[in-house]
Amino acid sequence: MAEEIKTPVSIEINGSCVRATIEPRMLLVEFIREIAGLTGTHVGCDTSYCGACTVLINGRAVRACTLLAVQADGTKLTTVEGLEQNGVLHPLQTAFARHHALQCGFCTPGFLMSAAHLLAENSDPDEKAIRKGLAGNICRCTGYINIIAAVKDASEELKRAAR
Amino acid sequence: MYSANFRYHRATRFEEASAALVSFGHNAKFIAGGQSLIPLLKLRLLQPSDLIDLSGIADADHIEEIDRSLEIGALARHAVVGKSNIAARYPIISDCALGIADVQVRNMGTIGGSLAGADPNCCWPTLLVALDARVHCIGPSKTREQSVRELLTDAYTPNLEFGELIDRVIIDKQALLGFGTFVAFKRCAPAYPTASCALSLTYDGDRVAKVRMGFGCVAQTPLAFDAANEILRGRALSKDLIADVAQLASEFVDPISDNKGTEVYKRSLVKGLVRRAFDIVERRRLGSEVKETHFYYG
Repeated sequence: MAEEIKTPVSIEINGSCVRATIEPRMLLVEFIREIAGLTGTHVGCDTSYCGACTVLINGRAVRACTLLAVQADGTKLTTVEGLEQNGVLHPLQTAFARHHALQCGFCTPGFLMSAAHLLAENSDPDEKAIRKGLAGNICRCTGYINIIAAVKDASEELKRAAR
Repeated sequence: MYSANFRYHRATRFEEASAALVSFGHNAKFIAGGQSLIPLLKLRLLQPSDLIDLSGIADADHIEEIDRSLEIGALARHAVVGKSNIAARYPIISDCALGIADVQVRNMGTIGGSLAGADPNCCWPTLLVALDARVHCIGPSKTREQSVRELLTDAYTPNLEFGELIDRVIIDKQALLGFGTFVAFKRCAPAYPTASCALSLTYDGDRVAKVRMGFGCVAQTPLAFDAANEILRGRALSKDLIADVAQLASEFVDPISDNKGTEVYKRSLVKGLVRRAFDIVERRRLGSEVKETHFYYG
């Protein structure tokens, strides 16, 4: 039965096309980690609460643990590995490093992707908007203050760069 | 976590999806955004034989004003509805849409999926019951319109025939005139609210012309609180009058004690939400901008 139900899927991940024929029940996060081999996207709670698996699907932040890979067929995905460009870290990544916005680091890829989505929608978020934009991500080390400061800092750097 | 195996199909039209479901039998399921369905599949609370994906259906995510009503396609995502120009005109809609769960869920979940799940804790059902909105449904042999109140007469069991699905939501613009808000109290963003309240008010001068009110999470279904209209119609709002409505509302709702709180706590919460809702509506009437209407624990 398993063979019969397999479905071909093609997803563009960080600019390269990944094709596979998979069981439809495969979650997007497994597709990213096991088939594309990109392990930066983490499986945290696996119950749609913690946001560690957040990726951008056609630019929108979604939870890869609450999406079937077949639902992402034909889309363009950005994972945390896709944030850096030509070996240069994304301003969010350097701001996270500068502000010590990660402790154990497990939640960091998810926070970076939610923050990337937030800054794409709102280039000048205030603290309230940052908190709301990151409300779907949990840091169990509870280092939220530094994360918020890093996102604010990155937004300012991006604005400077755009000038 | 992996769900049980299923066959996966993509539909490009509602009629095709309906016919497919009928041909696959009673164990087949539709999937829209999947934000409620996928967690249930992973827990194996549901083990469908077939999943029919609706997300490829074109032109089913529109948000339009048509004559005297506002129409929202069933596949419109919460985030898209909440940020639409129409939601900017009717803050009760943006309050509701942009308060649902968190960014990630709002970017996938759809209004039609939220209604078809018939979950009494969801925000759209509560708003649409309060506004007495309607849904247009496409079934294997006929199409029909029914009110959301008829659709949601039982928990988790929408009034839909075998193979029938919702293709759009219709709200009378009359229900959106005046001022409104959707307030909720939540433990954290991804969780369902502990209680929610929708309020839409029109005025005749300083007096109330019409009130539409509803509550979520505090009964087996979202509740329309039409008694508020009987009490307030033709009267000028005052602190005492609002306190009376809040008291009656807390007696009217029918919550159960669970891990979100006891029955007594939830009745008390409803009272507080009524006061907050009237306060936000009054501030909006006086011209101030009120943005965040979902309140969090702590």
